[in-house]
Amino acid sequence: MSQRSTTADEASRRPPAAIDAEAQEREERRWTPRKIVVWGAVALLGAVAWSMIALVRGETINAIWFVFAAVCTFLIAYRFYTKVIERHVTKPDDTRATPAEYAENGQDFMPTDRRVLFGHHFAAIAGAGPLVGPVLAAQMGYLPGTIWIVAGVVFAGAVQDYLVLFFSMRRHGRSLGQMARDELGRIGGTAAILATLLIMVIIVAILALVVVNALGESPWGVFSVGMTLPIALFMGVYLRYLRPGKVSEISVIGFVLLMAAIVAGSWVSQHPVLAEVFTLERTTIAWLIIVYGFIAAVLPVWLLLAPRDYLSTFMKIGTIVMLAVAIVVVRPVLEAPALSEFAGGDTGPVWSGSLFPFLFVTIACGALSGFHALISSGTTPKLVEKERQTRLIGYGGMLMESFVAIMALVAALSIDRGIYFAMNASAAATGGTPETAAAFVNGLGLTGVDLTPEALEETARSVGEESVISRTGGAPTLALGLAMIMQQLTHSGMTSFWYHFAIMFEALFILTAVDAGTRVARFQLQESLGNVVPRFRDTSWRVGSWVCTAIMVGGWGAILLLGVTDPLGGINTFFPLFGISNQLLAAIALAICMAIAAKGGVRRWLWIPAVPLAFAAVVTITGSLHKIFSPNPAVGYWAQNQVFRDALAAGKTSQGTATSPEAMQAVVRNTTVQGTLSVVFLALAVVVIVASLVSVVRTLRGVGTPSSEEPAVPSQIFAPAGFLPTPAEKELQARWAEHDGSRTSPVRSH
Amino acid sequence: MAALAGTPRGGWSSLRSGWSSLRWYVRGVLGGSAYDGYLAWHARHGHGRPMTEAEYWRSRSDHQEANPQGRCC
Repeated sequence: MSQRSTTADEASRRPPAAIDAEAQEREERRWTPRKIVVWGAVALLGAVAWSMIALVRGETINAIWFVFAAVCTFLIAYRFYTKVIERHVTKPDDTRATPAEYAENGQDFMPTDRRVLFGHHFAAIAGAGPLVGPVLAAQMGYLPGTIWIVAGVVFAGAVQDYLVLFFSMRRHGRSLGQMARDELGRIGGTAAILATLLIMVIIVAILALVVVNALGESPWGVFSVGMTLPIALFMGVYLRYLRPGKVSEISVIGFVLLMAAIVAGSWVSQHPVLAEVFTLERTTIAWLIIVYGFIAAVLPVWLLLAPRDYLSTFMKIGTIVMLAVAIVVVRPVLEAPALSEFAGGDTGPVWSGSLFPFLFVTIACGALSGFHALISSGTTPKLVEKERQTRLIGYGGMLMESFVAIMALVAALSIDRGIYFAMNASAAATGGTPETAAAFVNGLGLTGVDLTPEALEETARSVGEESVISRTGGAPTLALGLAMIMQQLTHSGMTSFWYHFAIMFEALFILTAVDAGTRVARFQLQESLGNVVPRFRDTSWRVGSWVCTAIMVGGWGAILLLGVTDPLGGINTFFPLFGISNQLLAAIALAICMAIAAKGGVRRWLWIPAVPLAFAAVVTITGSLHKIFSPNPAVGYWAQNQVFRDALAAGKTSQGTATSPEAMQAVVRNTTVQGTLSVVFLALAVVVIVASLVSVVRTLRGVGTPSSEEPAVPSQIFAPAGFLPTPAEKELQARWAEHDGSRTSPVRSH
Repeated sequence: MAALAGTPRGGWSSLRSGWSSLRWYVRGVLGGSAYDGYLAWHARHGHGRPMTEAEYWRSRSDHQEANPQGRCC
């Protein structure tokens, strides 16, 4: 990056802000022998890896093939497909200034080095989602999940992230909701904003449910996760009053304290009195998280949210690098089948529903995550230095997240299958004791699975828990997989440490998502209420902010409590709702992108956003229809509702896994909530998609409203587009360096 | 940026430049270098006295307070 100048004389001596388009074209089109060999090798390795995964039917498969298949596919997609998108849809122009340049304010608008922004954006989009979904999807075997993660990200997820980022950047970093209003009109826009708000509530609730399930009856987990609060508060005070701005320093201190908290957790779990104190029931933990969510969302940002954000970014990048290294070094052998016994039906014990559409909603983050559209139209577009860098940051960042999902899948598949099902089937099914759980798993009729109660007890002991049975939600399974891989790299005595390390870092992400989500939702609610009672628009009005925070926390808290007390197993029935709502948001985002692309003159290549949109729409609409209309009680919410109402009317006192009239009433209540939400989501999504189609048709007919793109401002800075500068970019960089050197004071160094 | 592009030299100095690149990167990703960015911006466009580091971070968190950003799942 370089300095800007204002005088005409200087402007004439300034090097150009973009490399010559023709030179760039020539460079890209020139196929040197070295380039051909490299890309040939990548393609070949990818093809071999995919054959190993998809075609070779051995007893076992090595995890390294998953890494090769994913990485080679990602490289090819990034090198070739994104160029197609660039050429035909986005058409980035580096002579145009980005909002970070023309609206720079030293705060949220600030041109940021592309490599730094890549890390920053990745840390903001990646959370517990890509770690949890693939674990649950492992029920179907490894093949469907792997194909969906890789193909989904290439054609849908990364396309969405990239397009939203690009279009938002061209619109002064406007949010998805604002873009919906601008491009789709009042009805489409309002439906999109309402859907976003509801979806946020659902997502926060289900994420919180994952934490509750991971911490229930686990004194070690409760203690170490609980310790993250005082640690974050300490970090906040340190940064505010002791050493402002020393972010890396306090993050290292915080990290050391976290590790100490994990180690101390082991001692707590063995202490007779403390273990008792920290052994909490799931309902209690749910209440604690609800109270926490309210307090965290009204506390000043600097005290809790910001410091925990630093900690979670630090942990996120560190752990993911560590896991990648571990998988490559250990190369675990997976014993799972490509397609499991449950792939053909809709009665899997982990989650019910058929492969299509439910696999595609179970793995949301990592393949296609609508939530990313909120990030890609939030902080990141205001920091992008040059237009062409959006390809690296938007598309590349999502490929990275997808890679995390592949690693999570590998980790989940590397544990014993019997143990996997014992951990992930609901307590109502497993009975909760080693004997009943082993009998249940052995009764599933899985080939090659013979689970003993001793194996379950031994596993629990090795990770320092009372029991691992029915620890649903995905987090504990991933933690176990990660611990098994890491202990091979370190020491077998460290299994329990690594298990709790993984639990803690997942909880850390989720708690950050919980209070950040509550804050965002609170602001949205205030804005909406502001239309009726104008005073609510004033976000610094204490009463208004508390009331709106309480409403939002009440919303997700209620769903969380329903999930925790659900007689049918919570995650099993609620997770599809999470996936559907996330994917619905993706459909909304893609619909907005399609409308914008059409207004930008894209015609033949409109399929680039339209195909993933069609897919996401079909998946979510079919999924919702299954959930609303399926006659199978395990799948359809209303069918289940009917079964339990009939049973209650007939005077029965138990039905299926609900063993009391109260539990049966709980099922009736929960299925009513779930069924109603499904209907509402479906309606909102259909409204937004139809609004975008109307907008596209009007544009094609030449009667549409113009797009809200900001007018072009000439750029006065230059920076390369990709991770490594190309020869032409290097040459221009050198000219800029010379130009800056000839000026009085080089401002920037690091 | 220069540190990342630095050419490899002898053992000790390349280790040092590697360390400074890593530091630069971590600081950037965590957001610790925001104040440097502000100072650079102020030098070009600002008026009057730039905020001190403590003032800057306060104004930054006030700004975050009023413009919340989601974190992904």
